[in-house]
Amino acid sequence: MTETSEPSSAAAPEPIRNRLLSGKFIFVGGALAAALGFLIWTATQGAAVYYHTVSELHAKGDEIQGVLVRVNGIVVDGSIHEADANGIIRFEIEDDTGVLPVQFRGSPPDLFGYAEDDKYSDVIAEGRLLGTGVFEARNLIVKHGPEFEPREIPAQ
Amino acid sequence: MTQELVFLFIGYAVIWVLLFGYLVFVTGRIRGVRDAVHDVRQELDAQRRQASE
Amino acid sequence: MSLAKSVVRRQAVKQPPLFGWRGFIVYTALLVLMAVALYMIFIYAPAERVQGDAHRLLYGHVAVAWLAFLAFGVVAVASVMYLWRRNPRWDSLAVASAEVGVLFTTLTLISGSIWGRHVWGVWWTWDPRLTTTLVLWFIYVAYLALRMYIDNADTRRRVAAIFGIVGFVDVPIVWYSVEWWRSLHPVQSVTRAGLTSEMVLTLVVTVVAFTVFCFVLIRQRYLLERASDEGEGLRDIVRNRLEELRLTGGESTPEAGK
Repeated sequence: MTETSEPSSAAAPEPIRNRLLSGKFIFVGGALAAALGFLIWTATQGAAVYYHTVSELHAKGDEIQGVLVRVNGIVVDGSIHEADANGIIRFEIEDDTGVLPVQFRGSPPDLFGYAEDDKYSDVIAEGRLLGTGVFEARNLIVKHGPEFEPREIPAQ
Repeated sequence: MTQELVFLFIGYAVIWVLLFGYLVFVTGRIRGVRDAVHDVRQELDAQRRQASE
Repeated sequence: MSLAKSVVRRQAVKQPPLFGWRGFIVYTALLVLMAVALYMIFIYAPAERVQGDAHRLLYGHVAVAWLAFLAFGVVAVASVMYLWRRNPRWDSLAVASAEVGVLFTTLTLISGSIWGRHVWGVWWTWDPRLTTTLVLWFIYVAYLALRMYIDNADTRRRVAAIFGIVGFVDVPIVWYSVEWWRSLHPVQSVTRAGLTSEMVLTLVVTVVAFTVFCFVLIRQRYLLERASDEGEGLRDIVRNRLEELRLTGGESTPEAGK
């Protein structure tokens, strides 16, 4: 080799083994680990369950007021009131032992409604229990089971 | 077209476009990598022949 | 490039990437199956009582989710086989399946999100099933990322194999998440679902069509990995040769001793 030491050492293969400990790896690995940790933390923090039932919410008493929670129940037959002047719809949800009035500002999911109208009446409300005992939902999520049935063709 | 049909078509379009796109991408890469490997092999053989002469 | 050179290149390809008459059969079967599945999903299956046509997302969503699990199962089995046999082909199968599995998990998340937006009313929610599935996605993305940063082939394959086996732990967690914890996502149950025979048949055909697609993808990615491995082997030969030159070159490389 006729060249000086500078370029020849630069062209030599670098010791790759050390790349495992290089900054790039630590950065990418750390970012992934942090993202994973954050996901698990968000999923499990606060409430140990994804949603409460209406009865469980009532059992918690005043301490639950103002806390962001999810509550699940079945829409009470005939309880849905169309949007008022402020665009707020009101309805009640119930489980075996409790009833909870809910208010929601916005348009509910397309399939939200009464079972007899071929809609889903099982609903999860995301929001806060107000001092008045009304649950103020800022998100309305329709829940449904694994049942899939063909649509009846109405007999003429 | 109703909203549910729009969601339906977008859902399946995403699935099929990504699957076929991946198939085309990977199959194309096989040819590229094999060509590159072949070239290096030829280059090495040529150098070896040169060195032994 | 010259014609002569391209002819030489053609000859070097040992395993064709699914071309020729075998490829013709496989790809024809795949296209026919996909066409039949499309017909059954959109026309043959009856509209659902509540969801109407939107329920047709079920077939594709269930199929891609199931194949993601299957692909990660292949990763685990191939990883065990690699640790046992130390044959790099098992490692190639593991990485091929992991990448395809990530693709199918991505499709599961996207199709589920679109379906959820229509039926549930939200694109995403931190429900146990959705959360564990996203964790699954991150685990195998991390598996693929990890492989890029270990340069020594043996070390990389061993570390990846262990990761590939341990990572599979999340698959049963995803599967049972809807039964273990309260969730928004419905449980998977063909028996309780009240599907008609048309719906079940559509689901079966769709799953078969996507399974064939999945195996074709894994095979192609496997061939790519084999070719890359060959290139890596050549690179190491060149590196060793350069190292020899550097060491025998003597005083021109002051850092050679390090």
